[in-house]
Amino acid sequence: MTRSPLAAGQEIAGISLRLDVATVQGYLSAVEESSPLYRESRLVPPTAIAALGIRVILEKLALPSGTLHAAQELSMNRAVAIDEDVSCTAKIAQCSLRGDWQFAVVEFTIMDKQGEAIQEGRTTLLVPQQNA
Amino acid sequence: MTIIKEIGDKLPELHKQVTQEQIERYAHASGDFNPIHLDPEFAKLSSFGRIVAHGMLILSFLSEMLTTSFGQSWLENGRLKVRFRSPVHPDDVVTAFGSVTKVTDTDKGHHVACVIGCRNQNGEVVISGEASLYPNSE
Repeated sequence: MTRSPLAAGQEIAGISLRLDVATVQGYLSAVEESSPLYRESRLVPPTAIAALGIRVILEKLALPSGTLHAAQELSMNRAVAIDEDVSCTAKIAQCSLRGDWQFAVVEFTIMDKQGEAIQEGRTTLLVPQQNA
Repeated sequence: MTIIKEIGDKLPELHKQVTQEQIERYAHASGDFNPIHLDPEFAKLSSFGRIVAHGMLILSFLSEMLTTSFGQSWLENGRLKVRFRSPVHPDDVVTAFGSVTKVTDTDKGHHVACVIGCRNQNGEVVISGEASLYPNSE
C-alpha cells in the first residue's frame, strides 16, 4: 500500500463515533471488564472511547501493518453515556524519523454534540518505514 | 469502590490472563485488525517474533483498576499517562498495580496522584505511568 509520509500539522476532522449498546457491550466483553459501574449506569469506559477514536484516526492516516503503540495519555472531562453522539478531531503534533521508524505523536479530542471536549488524548506511534 | 485516601495506599491489583481468543475479540470490538495482533506468520517476522496483544487492551486493565478504586470520578476527571514498555503475548498473565504517591488539597477538592503499571508473570513491567484525579468530585 502506498501512503504519504506523516507530517506534523496534518489534521483529521469530522470523525463520528458509534457508542451504541452493542458496541459498548462488545468492548466490555472483549476486555472482560468486571466493574459493575458500566453494567448498572450505561456509561462508556473511557478506554473504549479512546480505542474507537484511535482506530478511526489510524484508518484515516492509512498507517502500515506493524505500526506500534508506544505511549498514551488520556484526560477525561466528564462521563459519557451509551448512545451519546460524539465526534473526534485529531492532529499530528510531532513527527520525526528514528532509524527505520517514524515517530509520530497524534493529539485528539472527543467532543459531544455541543462541541464540548469530553476526552482528550495524545497517542505516540512508531510507524515502520519499510512499508511506506 | 475501594477507599483510597493516603499516600502509600495500594490500589487493588487486577490479574488477567491474556489469550489469543481475547485478542481476537478485542480486535473485533475495537476495529484494530493490525496483523501483528492476529497473524502468527506476520508477527513471526516482526521484531517481537510472535503475536503481541493490543496496547489499548492492556491499558483497559489499568482503567478497570482505577474504576474499581475511584468509581465514577475516574470517568469524570481522570488523567493518565503511560508508556508501553514491553509487549504482552498470548497466555501472559498481566497484573495491574498502583499506589497513591501524592494527595493535595486544592480549590477543587482533594487531588490524588498515583503511580500505575502492569507487569507480566515474570515480573517484567510492560506498562508504566501515572494517573491522577479528583475523587468524589461530583
